[in-house]
Amino acid sequence: MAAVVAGLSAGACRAAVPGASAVLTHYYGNSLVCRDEKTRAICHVWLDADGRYYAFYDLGARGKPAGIHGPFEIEGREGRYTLRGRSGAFEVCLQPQPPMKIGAERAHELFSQAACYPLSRRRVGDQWELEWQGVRYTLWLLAGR
Amino acid sequence: MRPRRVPGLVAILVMSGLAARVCSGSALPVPREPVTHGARAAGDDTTQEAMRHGRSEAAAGRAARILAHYFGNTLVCAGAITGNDLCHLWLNRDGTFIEIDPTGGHAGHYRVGAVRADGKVPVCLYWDTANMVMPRGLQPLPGATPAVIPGRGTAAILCRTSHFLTTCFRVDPASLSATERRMTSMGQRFHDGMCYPLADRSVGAIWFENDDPLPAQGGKDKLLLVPGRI
Repeated sequence: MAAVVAGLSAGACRAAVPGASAVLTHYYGNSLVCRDEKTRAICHVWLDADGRYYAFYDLGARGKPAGIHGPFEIEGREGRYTLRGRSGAFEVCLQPQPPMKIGAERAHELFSQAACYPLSRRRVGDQWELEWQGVRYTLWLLAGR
Repeated sequence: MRPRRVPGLVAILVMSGLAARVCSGSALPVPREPVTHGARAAGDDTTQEAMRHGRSEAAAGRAARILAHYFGNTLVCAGAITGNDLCHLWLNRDGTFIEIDPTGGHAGHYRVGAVRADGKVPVCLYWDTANMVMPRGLQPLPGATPAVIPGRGTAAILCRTSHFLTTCFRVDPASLSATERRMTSMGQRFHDGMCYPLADRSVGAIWFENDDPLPAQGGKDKLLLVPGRI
């Protein structure tokens, strides 16, 4: 079956895609938090209703102090997202704003790359598990930003 | 734009869990050990009002020029001694910002005071959310050993802001009122507002700031103006 929800791209996003805002409604204005159960890296992701997103990482102490080009323990990035879904399962597809490549991306952390990630309807306070590319993550949807 | 609160840039994070803030004008009936270094000439509301209401385009323009290189780039704060990465600030021209620290991202608004005699412009940051409820296991590791007041145990930090100048003191938590204790959280402090003096800097600059309200190490913060947003 073809994609049920498609193309929440940049400017045209949710309003143009019936059902999309229902999937993400509790994410807006709140924080999606993930923890890599192997590296213990933590991410915070904000999804905006207009198709923008922000992702922040705490990768833990780096080997040397940060300089102008890093390495950074804390990182952030922004970009655009689209939502697509099939048979009730949804994916949020991220397109990070170039050009900077961050350490979280090199480490293949969740939500750090230009890729599609599984996401489901959640409420604030929910906690769930996710396995992505062989790595187990714990996720939370927390109130506020 | 309704002023809310802002994340202070720097090292305050190191003191995570200690801080407190007292509203301008509040009396602090407790012994104080200053954290903030010399209180320099504070700005006033002139520039902020000018920027918001167009009353003095010259003043607003001067402040905007000083901050120009911060927009679209990242101000990184780090420990002055260890160089450890402590926070990243993304300042937007529209009066909003995003601050990133080990507790995650923080959205907020900022206000700008008048340009000081030393050429710096005070930027007061206000987080939108005071205290996010973090699940157990998500708390960042403490960055430093809390300060101890001899004979009185672990210190709390009280900060007060007046005329775009924030000053902070280490105090005995036992001497604080319930309201003051609530203000000792980092989230509440930044929600209430923390002001940092920013000078005109070029992208790629690295410097040490010795008049931040809560210096991380050695009485100062290490700052880097990094190209792009990271």
